[in-house]
Amino acid sequence: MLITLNNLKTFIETFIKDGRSVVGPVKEDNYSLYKPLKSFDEVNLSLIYPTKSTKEYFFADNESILTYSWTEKNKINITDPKDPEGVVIFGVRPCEAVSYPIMDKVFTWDYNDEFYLKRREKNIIISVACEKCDEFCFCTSVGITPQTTEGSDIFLQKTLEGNYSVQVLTEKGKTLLTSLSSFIEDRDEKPIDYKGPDKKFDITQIRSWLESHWDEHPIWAKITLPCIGCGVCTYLCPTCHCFDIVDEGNLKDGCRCKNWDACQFAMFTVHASGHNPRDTQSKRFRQRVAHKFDYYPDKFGRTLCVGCGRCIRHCPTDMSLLNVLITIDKPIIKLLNR
Amino acid sequence: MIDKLRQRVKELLESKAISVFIGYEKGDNPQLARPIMITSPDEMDKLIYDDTCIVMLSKYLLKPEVKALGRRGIVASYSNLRAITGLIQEHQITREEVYIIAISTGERLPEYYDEVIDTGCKTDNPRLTTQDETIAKLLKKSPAERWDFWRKELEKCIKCYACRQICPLCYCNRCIADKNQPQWILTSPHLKGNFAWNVIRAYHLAGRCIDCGECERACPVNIPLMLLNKMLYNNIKTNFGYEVGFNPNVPPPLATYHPEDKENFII
Repeated sequence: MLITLNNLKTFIETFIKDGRSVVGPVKEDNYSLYKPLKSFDEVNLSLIYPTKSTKEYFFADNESILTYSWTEKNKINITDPKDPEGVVIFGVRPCEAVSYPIMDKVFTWDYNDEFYLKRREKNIIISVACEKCDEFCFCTSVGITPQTTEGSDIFLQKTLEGNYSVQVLTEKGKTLLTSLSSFIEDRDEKPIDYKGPDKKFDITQIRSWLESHWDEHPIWAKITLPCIGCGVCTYLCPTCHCFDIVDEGNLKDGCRCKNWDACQFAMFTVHASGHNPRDTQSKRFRQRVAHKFDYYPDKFGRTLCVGCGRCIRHCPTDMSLLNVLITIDKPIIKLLNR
Repeated sequence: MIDKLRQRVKELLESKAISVFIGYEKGDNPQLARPIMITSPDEMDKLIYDDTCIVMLSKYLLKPEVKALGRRGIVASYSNLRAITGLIQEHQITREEVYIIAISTGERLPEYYDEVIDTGCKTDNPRLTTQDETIAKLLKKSPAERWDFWRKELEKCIKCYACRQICPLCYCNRCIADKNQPQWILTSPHLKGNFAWNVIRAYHLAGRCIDCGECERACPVNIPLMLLNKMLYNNIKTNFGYEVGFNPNVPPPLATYHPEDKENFII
């Protein structure tokens, strides 16, 4: 199946006119994000990917999980939040679409996180295959390619003629497309064959190294020195999913909020006693690497990283995850281990 | 020039004048050199200095892991020198515990360094030239328009605290944003919480901000934080004739009290 760029535009704009929320990659000054669209013209498909990921449309950076108020009779009213509206997310990159099945495992593991799951059920993902990458991309090293369709409902791939080949992957995608089938042509064109970045490290090697070397290894203290302990890497990461629950209120009313939290913050693991098991930045950075490449794979059988490279591209001090992984993967490490 | 820098750092490490040198190496980001803490003369070929060396290194002078390595040497551009002077002024470091190799970029350098190398580089803060112009434009707008401007900008904040973590003068062991008994500042990244955080940070840096622009550079969502900081910087300069980071012996105006102080601002 095929859709022309013009038809794609009409296709997306029909949704917008129908009053559905459609978000897409938009570039604003030095900053880019997946933003609710007013028209297709705002979409920028030449971006490798926006700075901010689509994570916020599944796992909001701030949401109220209940609100409360005091009634006159001194009773407390507790109100559940309204169900979230679903959005159609257009222009998702294949690596990022893989982050949804990855987050599903966490949010359905020991507890079904209804706030995540309601959005996950309603959101529809239209992905577009990559045609280029930069020095920060490493999807191929974590088992993803520019043509990976996992996590997408509809998958588009640019053809040599400049149109888009269409793959429908789920029931949700099928329903969405049936209503607008007139835009789709029933013929095929050869999609652009794009290989993606070269493989940069071996995840099996990294996992086995992480399993046998924990924080006592001198490499952690040395290699993580540039880290300043901000939350840029975790907050831009499409797979980082830690959150904090806080109460905000006054004498009359208030709410209980679920906010993003980051393992890179010094306060993240402080116990009530005042003891902090991860008391240095090197331990906190080690935690992020080990969670992604050892603990999560151990529990769920895959890597907690999609190789988008946001954490490297936007790190204010170039405290590069890629550099850490490549260093771990180097044979020199094996010598240091003796 | 880089040979000269490498040679000097090598000599300093070999003579045990310093135990660690804070400089830059080539990293993964072609636009941004990575900070490196060199402890051995063998690592000298990693040391670079070019237009990508913009991360403020003075932050690492305070990092406990770096402090633990011993006497520190540092390569310091104009902004870094001002930050170091500011830190000495606020008693966070002493002049003696740091060996400073200043990089001359043609600006008036604070006189607090051990030696100076002329690199020919003009790396320091090329992005900080337009703030005053934008501030003037904003000041011509009505309060309602300014409110709209800041609402749009601060809505973007995701509370990653990169501004705080990269700031050379943000060194509190426990930031007020991290104090939760009671919770002084809302931790949520909603508009109210974002205003609370960003405005309080700007005020806490009034008379202390050295105008390096690192907060704005580090901000992943590109909030023009330096407009707030520069406005306060200019106010301090106009009202007190003071600029931080040139002379550590001058007391900071907002941290001193004199019985003769003007009180005309008290209603």
